[in-house]
Amino acid sequence: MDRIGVLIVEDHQVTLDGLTTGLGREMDIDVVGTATTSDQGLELARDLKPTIILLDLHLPGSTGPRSTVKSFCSVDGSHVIVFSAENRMAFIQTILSMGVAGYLLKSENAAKVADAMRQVLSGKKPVVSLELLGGETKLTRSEQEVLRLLARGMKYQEIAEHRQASPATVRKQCELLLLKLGLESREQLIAWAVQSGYGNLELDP
Amino acid sequence: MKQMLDYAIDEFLKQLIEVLPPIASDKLGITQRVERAQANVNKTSSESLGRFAQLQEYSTIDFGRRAQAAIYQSLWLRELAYKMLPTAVENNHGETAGYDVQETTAALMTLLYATLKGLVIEFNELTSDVGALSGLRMSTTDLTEVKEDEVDESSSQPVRYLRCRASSTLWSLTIRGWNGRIEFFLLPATEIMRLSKSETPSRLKNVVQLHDRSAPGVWAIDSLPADPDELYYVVRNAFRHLVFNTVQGLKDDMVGSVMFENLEGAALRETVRELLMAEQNMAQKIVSQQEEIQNRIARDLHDAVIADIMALKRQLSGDRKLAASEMIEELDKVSAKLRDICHDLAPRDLIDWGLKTVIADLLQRVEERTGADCIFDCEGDLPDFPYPVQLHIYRIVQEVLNNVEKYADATRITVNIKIFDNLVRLTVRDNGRGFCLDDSTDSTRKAREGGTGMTGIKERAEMIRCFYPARIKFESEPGSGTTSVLEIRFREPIR
Repeated sequence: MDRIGVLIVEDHQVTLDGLTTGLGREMDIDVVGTATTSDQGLELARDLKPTIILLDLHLPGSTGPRSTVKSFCSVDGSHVIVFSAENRMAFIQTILSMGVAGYLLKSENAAKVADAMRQVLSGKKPVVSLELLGGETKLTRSEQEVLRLLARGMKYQEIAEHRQASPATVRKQCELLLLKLGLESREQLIAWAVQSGYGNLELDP
Repeated sequence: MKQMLDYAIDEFLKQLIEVLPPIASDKLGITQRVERAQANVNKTSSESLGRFAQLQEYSTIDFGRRAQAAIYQSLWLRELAYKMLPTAVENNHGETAGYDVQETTAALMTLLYATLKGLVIEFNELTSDVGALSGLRMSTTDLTEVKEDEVDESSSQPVRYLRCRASSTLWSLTIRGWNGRIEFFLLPATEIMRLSKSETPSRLKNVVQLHDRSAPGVWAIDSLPADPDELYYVVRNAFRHLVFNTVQGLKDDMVGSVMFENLEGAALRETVRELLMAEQNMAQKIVSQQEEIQNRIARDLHDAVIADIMALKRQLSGDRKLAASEMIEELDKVSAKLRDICHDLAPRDLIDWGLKTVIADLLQRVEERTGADCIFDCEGDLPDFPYPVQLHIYRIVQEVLNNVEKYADATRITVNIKIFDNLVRLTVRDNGRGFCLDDSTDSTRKAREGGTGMTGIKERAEMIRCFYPARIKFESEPGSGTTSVLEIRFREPIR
């Protein structure tokens, strides 16, 4: 199996040490470098060309999480997995839309982080902490509405019209649904919605 | 032009009787006079409202009816503009387009002048009620066309301003229009002899401009399409400045101070005191806002955090020992609340994440709390507004959503951001209870307008106007939800 070279960029020393030790125990993972600032991290990333960059969102010397993520995502040949305590969905969606390979909460242990890295390399993208998704229990009213309309056989365009939203918004919402439910295609999503009874629920007048 | 006006006047007359009470009641702020005038409408309408010219004549016949005429003229402008402006001017691309623009300009100038004149007549009547205020008397100068020395660069024709004026003894308000642009100036009355030199940029009070030159008829204030109501308010505002400056000027000499004291209780109160109050209010508001912010922090900390910590303490000292996991859960709750409070005070996230994301987050939190079906719809990226503008937009959305959450009882809330040309339109729509915008006794409306709510929102929109042309509008009806629209016109970055 190919070995996975990891660069950890994290300003919190205890977390950094814990991760380095924890990941070091994994057979197939090498922590090739660590950095505590954004600039230092970027320099190392360009020199070391790690397979994975494990990136904290709030770093000293950076102008903000968006610019941090943007600059790390532009490093060729490396997958960026964000590792953060930020658990609000709107922010996470923004980060995911910037092209990162994964988003993990800081509550994950090293073994889970290692698993996530393997999943990314096997082609699954993006990998997101289960706690954030939590399956059906965490679906919002708005997502349930979309599922209901999908189960009734509506296309994105029709759903958008029905909900007076743009098709792009509906598409984004469905992508998030796929992620939350661990599904891969729209067909699966529709099938899931029908099986889960969304088609049978009381319809809007 | 004549035909167009005739048609519009006829149309207007058909509607006048119907529309008079509701329109006049609220917006003109001169309800009583309308009521008084109303009594005469039916018996005089057939003979006196035949033509605008007759309306003018009529206004000189007897003193008591002048106010009525003034109101008619104001209403006439508004209604006429509704009827006439959007479609009546046919646009022929090419040669005649410039002609159309001139005609439209002249048409609007006529209307603006009629309104100004109406205001002056009304004002003179009001001041004549109080003997000591007779020095405030205004006069008007009819619409005239004057050829200027300057030459318009685009058409290389000499500029011919259509101009009209209202003057007091000290100040003069001039309105001049040419080629799709109408400007309002306020200048000392002593300088009216050489108007074109006196109308300097620093004295420019307002500009009304053709919104789209290829479709004459839609006028814009601050580059935003204006409806006739807004055109009316521009004239009214400029006139208020005239009155205000005159009163201020008169204050300096002996006669002036007598007049000024007499303003209290005089019929002028509506017009002048509002302006004085507005200035004082600003200072007052800043102070009271600080107080309010401190109160809110105290309240939030007290309600949320202290209560929770006390509860935790009780549990810890009670018989049943809390498991570590329960304690962590409680502490998480407290820290989440503290984070919310900090976040509301200084939205650090706004800097870190940008307006679009934090608005999405606001809506998601509303969704979590209310369980309503919340849709965030935003294609494209918002322009890079200066931070204060972003903050005002954020606060406006926050306040609007607050109101929705508190009062609307909605099952669907949509935040829609559209970015096109150089306009950002931000719409918050709910399907909840709604309220009656015109009915001041509506309890929901009262509640929504109370406190910092609606007023705060409007003030913030005003502050955005320091940077960009902007406006906010509310639409609501009982039972059919509420829509709030914030529009900001941003300039393209210079390339």
